[in-house]
Amino acid sequence: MKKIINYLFIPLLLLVVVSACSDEQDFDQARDLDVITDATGPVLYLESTEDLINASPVISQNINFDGFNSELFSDRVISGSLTFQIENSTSKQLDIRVIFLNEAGSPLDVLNFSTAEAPPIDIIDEEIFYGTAAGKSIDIIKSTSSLQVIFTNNSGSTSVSSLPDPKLIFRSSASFKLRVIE
Amino acid sequence: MRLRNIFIIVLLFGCFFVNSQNKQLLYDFNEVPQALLLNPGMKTSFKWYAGVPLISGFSFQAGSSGLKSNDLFANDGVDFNTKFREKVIYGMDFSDELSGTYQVELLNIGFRSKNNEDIFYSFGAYNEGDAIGYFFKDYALLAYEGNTNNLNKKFDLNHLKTRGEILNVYHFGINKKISNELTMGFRAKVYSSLLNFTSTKNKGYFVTTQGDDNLLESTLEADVEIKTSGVFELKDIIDDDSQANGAAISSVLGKRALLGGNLGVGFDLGFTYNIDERTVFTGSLIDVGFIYHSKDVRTYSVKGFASTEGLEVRLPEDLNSTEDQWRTFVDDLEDLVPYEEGSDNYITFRPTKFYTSIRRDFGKEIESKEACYCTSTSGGNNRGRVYKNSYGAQLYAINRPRGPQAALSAFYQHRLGNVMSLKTTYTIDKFSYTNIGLGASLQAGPVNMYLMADNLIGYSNLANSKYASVQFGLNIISWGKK
Repeated sequence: MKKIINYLFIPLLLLVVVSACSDEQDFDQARDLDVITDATGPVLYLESTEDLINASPVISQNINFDGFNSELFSDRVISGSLTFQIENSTSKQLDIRVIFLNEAGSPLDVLNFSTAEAPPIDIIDEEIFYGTAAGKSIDIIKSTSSLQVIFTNNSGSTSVSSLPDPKLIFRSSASFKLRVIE
Repeated sequence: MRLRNIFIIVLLFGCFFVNSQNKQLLYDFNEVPQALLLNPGMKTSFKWYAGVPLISGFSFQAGSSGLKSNDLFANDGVDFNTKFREKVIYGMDFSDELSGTYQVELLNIGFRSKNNEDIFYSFGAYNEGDAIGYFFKDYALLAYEGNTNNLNKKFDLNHLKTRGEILNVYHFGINKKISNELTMGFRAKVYSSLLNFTSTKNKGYFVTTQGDDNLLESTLEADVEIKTSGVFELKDIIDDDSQANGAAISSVLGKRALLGGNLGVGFDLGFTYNIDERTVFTGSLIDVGFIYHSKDVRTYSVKGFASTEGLEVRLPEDLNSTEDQWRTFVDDLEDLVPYEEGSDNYITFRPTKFYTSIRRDFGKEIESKEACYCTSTSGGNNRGRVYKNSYGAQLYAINRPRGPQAALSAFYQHRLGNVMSLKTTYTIDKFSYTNIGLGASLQAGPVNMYLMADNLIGYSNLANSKYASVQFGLNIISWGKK
C-alpha cells in the first residue's frame, strides 16, 4: 500500500499542476484601453523695446512654428488651450494682433489684444480654448505652421515710459489633451 | 493601435513572467542530480548519472510582484480603463519587478572519478532565458497624466531599468569530498549569448516649472542608454522577404548556440559542511561571470541637458530675421540632448545568485548505500548516514539592477527509504508571503524523475496568483555496486 502511495505521489502532484483552476479571463477588454494625457509647455516669448515701438508705429514679426502641425502632435491632439500674458511697461497704448497661418500663409485665426499705457504696468491674461464645446476648432491648431504678431502703437512716437527698461512682453504657453493610446 | 499593443505586451510580460529565479525546492535536494547546478559542492553519492536530453531538467517560473491577471482581465464588468488606472498606474511602484526565466537542459552527465572516488565530475549544457524590468512608473505617469497637473514634479528617467538575454551555457564541474565533514565544488562555465538587451544605468529627469521670462520652462536632463546584441540580424531576416524566415533564423540561432554568439565566462562555487552528525551547513555562489558583446551590437542613447522657455524672439535684434526660428530651435535642442545610435562593444554581468542553508536531520536512520555508490543517499551526513526526516532554513539572494533581492525559506524533507523523497517549503520574498511549494523525487530502478511546484495555493486560481513555478526532469542514475 505504501509503495502504491509512493509511486502515485508524482502523478498526483502533476495532476494538481495541470488541473490548476483559473477565473474566467477576458483579454479582449484590453482593446478598450484609451490613454489621454495632459501635456503642457512654453510656446513663444516675444519682447520689444519701447525704442523700437517709437521708431515704428506698426511692427510685424513672422515666426515659423511647426510644433503644432508635426504629425506627432497633430495626429494625437484632441483639445486644449493657449494661455497668453501680455505685459506692457511702455508709455504706449498698443493693439496686438496674433494671426495663425497655415503652410500656404493663409490666415486660420486671429486673436486681438489691447493694452494700456504704463505706469502702472499693464498685464493681460487670457486663455483661448480649442476643440472644446465652447472653444474654437482644434483644426486651427493642427494646421498652424507659423504665427504673425503685429503691434500697433496708438500713442505717438515721442513719449517715454518713466519705468526702468520699458518693454512690451508677449508670453504664451500651451496645454493640450493628447491621445497616447487608442 | 500598435502602441497600445506594445504597451499591453509589456504589461503582460510583467504579469506573467515575473519571478525571482529562486529554486528553493531543488536546492540541496541530494537525490536529484540537477541540484548540483545550484550547489557544485553538494554532497553526492551518485556513481554516475545521465540526464535524458532535453527533458532532464526543465524549469519555468511565472509571477508578479505588482499585478495579478485578475486585476486587469477578470470578467467583472468593471471598465478596463478604471482597472488599468487603479491597478497599474497608481497600483504599481517603480520597485515592482517584472522579470522571468526559463531553463532547458540540453545535456547533463556526471560520473565519479576512477582514480579517486571522492571526486565527482559533471558536465553539460543548458539553454536559459532571463529578463527583468522594473515598472517604469514615471514614464507611465507622464504618458497617463501628463505634466499639466504635475508642474515642478521631476519625472525620473531612472525608472527605466531592464535587461534580458537568451543564452546557452556550457559547464564542467568538479565536486570533491575534502574530508568527512567538508565537500567542495567548482563549476566553470562558458556562455554563448543568442541575444541580449540591457538598459540599467539610466539617469536624469524631465520637469516643467514656472519660467523666468516665459510662463513655463521645460527642462530635460538625460543619460539614457539601451544596448542590444543579436537582435538586428534576426530583424533583418524577418524583414527580408526573399528568404524563408524560419530556416534562416534557425541557422543563425544554431550558430550562436554552438559558441558562435557573444561569448563569456563564469563559474559557480559551493560547499557542504557537516557541523555534527545530524547538522549540515551549505552555501553556493552561482553565475559569477560576464559576457562580452561584440557581434551584432546596437546601442541607442539620449544624453545631455536642455532647458527651454519656448521660441524666443527679441526685438529689435530679431526683427525681420530670415532665419527659420523653429528649425533653429529644434536643432539647438537636438544638439543639447542628442539621440545617437552606435555599435560600441559592451560587457554584461550575469545575475549572480547566492544560496545558503542549514539542515537538521532527525528520525530513523535509512540504510545507506554510499559504500556502493548506488543511487542517491539523500541527506548523507559525515558518516554517510541518512535519516528519514530533515528540516531547516534556506536563504537565497540574487544580484539585481536595483540591488540584491532575497528570499527566506523554511523546509521539511521526508524520505521513504531510498525510493522516494518529498520536500516542502514555505518561502517569503517580495512577491508573496504565502508561498508553499512541494517537490518529489522518485527513484524507480535506475530511473530518477522529479517534479516540483511552487506556490501551490495559487494553483487553485492561477488568475488570482502572483507566482507559480514548475520544475521537472528525468535522469538515469547508476545502480549496482561500483
